[in-house]
Amino acid sequence: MTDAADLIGYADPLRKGIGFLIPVFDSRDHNALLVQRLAADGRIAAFEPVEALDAPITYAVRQATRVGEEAIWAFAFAASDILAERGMRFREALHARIDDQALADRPLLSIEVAEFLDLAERRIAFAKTAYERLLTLGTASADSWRDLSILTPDLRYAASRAGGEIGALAARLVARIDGNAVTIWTADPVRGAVATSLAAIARRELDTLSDLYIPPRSGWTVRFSHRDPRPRAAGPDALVLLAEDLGRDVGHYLAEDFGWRVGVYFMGRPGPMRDLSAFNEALGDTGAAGFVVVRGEGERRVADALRETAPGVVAIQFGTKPRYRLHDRDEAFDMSPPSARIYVPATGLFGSGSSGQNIAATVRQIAAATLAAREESGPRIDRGKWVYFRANGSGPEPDSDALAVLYDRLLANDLSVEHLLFLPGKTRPSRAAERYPGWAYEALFASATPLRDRRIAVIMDTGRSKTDAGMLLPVLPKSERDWEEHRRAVERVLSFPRWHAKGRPARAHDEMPFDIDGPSRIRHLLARPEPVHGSGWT
Amino acid sequence: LRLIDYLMATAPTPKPLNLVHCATVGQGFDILDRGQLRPEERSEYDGMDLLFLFYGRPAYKPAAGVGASGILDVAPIALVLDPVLLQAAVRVVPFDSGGFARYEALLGPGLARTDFELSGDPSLPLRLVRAFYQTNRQYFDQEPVTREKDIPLSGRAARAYARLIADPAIRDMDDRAGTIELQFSAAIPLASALQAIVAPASMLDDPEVIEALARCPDAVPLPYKTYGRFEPLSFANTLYERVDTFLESRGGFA
Repeated sequence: MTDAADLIGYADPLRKGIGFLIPVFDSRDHNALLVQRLAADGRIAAFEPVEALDAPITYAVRQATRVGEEAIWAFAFAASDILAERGMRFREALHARIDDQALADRPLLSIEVAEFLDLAERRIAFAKTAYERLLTLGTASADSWRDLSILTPDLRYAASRAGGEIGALAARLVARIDGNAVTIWTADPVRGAVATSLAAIARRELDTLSDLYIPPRSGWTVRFSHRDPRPRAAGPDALVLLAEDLGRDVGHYLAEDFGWRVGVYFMGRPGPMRDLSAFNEALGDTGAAGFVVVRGEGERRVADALRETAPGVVAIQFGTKPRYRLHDRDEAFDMSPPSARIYVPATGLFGSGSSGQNIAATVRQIAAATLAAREESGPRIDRGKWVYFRANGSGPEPDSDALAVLYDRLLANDLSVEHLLFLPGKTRPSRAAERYPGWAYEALFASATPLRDRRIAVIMDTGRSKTDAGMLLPVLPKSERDWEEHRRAVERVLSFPRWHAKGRPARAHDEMPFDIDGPSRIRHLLARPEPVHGSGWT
Repeated sequence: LRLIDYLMATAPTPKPLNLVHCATVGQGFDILDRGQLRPEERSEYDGMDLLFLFYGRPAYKPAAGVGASGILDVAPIALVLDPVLLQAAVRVVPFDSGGFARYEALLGPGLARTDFELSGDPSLPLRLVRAFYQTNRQYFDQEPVTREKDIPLSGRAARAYARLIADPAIRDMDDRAGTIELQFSAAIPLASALQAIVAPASMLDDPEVIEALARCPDAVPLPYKTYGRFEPLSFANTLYERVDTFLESRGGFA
């Protein structure tokens, strides 16, 4: 590092002979060229070598300079018209030429000059000229430029001067104008006195910029939008206690991190780190949702597991029966549960060599659905009896096939579709953002609430769980409304091959005639109720 | 567990970020004059013609091994492009593919560049962000949240990448280590794709540039000040601040 260097010329990064230039130095101590580093007071803090300078240099009369002297500034009005001076002398000379013809058609550069010289009113005047010019290119981009290059920096500066909580928000404020309203995006929520003060600052800044923003007659409406709710950097979304041995690898697969985390604990496992008391303690510490997983139909095991866990823990019970029948005696739900209990009918998982991956995936699906339902406005899964079905489809339309399987299970188990939560499978970006697609969903699950949540998307889409669709619903018997909904579903399904109902049955349980609306002739179909495990349309 | 398998098990972020191309001001004039970004011959890909863009970040810091004041590229520009271009990418790499030699030691033995090269699936950049950073904001700020130990032992490439982006030394020197690269085999016309251009004020009201921007109706000019800045790093910070503001205004971090 050297304390002294000779000014040798000015580099023009734009190669256009206009704008601020970079003074370039050399020194006997360095082979490379040097540039000056500025101190906060505008003096030279140091000279720094540069190995390559990607800009042409206009050479000047050599001038000795030292660290601590006023910095050298340079501005080109043309390639042969360079203004170069030190500190205040440069400012005064530049100020004298602010209306130079060379800047007449360069409002953006003029704004830069006005900002350098701290000329607030001239800056606004140049901004107005720039805005009018940009309007000729496109209204949207001109408006964006005005909001992002004038209003936003002004608001940030004013907020930073206010200090305190408002000052802390300043660096990442973004302001956008839409009609009579200004929306201020902030990194953290803005409420109460901070919101009032920040709104006042915004209105004041807009008044100052009234040449650029025509004030609405009723005044500016200020809105705040809180963005970027930062998720917890670490820590699980859910804690799962495995109350009994579900297979040695279930815990391992549950603990894998596929974009969201599950903390796994073991009821019977010795050791303080991952046992029941650690589970209860972690629930209190993290605020994560708690689940206890049990196997079999015995109600006592469920009750015992829930009794020992903290309140609010949801029980997930893997049953051994392939179907859960509301009208059958079901020991699993004989006892009034103190919290939500979700029954998972057997699907061949047990005793058929099925892997822990599938059990873990099912637990994750249920946990994700429970979390999503809590965060959305859907029914909360915090009490009562629920049942979970999942399905894989086959054939040319596996999605539709899976939906048909699920619908069959609804009928077979006599369950009401009221409060049915639907878990879309194999989610892709386009699908995640929209309603679950496909004619089968529209026909069969029109009244369901689809849960669109990244945690569900992850686990339905892993390729391991191979789940095309799932549904989680409270155990409620079918009502007349359900049968009416079923009749409509049948009607919707038959409408796809262009069959239309001819009249309506007096009751949902009655026979219903359908006509084929073909191009050449009319066929007649009579649909009648079939006993499945109740009565209804098939 | 391949990196692609790990990513496909991760949900994408809800919103894609814009694509970014950084260049010198001289290159910027040429690009605007041509009206398109063109693929160029890439020796590291057997002479294929490819165009490299970055996902959501104006990765600009000089490469490792070059001091902060080594190269004074005093007027960088950033072209901010429509995220819809993701559909046209032919390959996704979680870091600057040209910097693999610099990253190799941190990634660990037995892993080749091909272990990190992903198909052009448009969801992959969004999945990468979710898998390692959780949110677009944390990706932009290079604050990874997924640690190496959070990833199964079988996911060697994913673990290596988590290790690379968590390394503070390389992040300070070379912000391309954690910036997702997108490769394209066809030219990208600016008229439909350019959404913003970050450049020195004196460049943005140059008549040639005004004429070029008139052909790009959606492009927002985002000028930055050139005076008082003599360090490459300060230009990098300026580019990030301007692109950050633009992405924020478009809801990229919502």
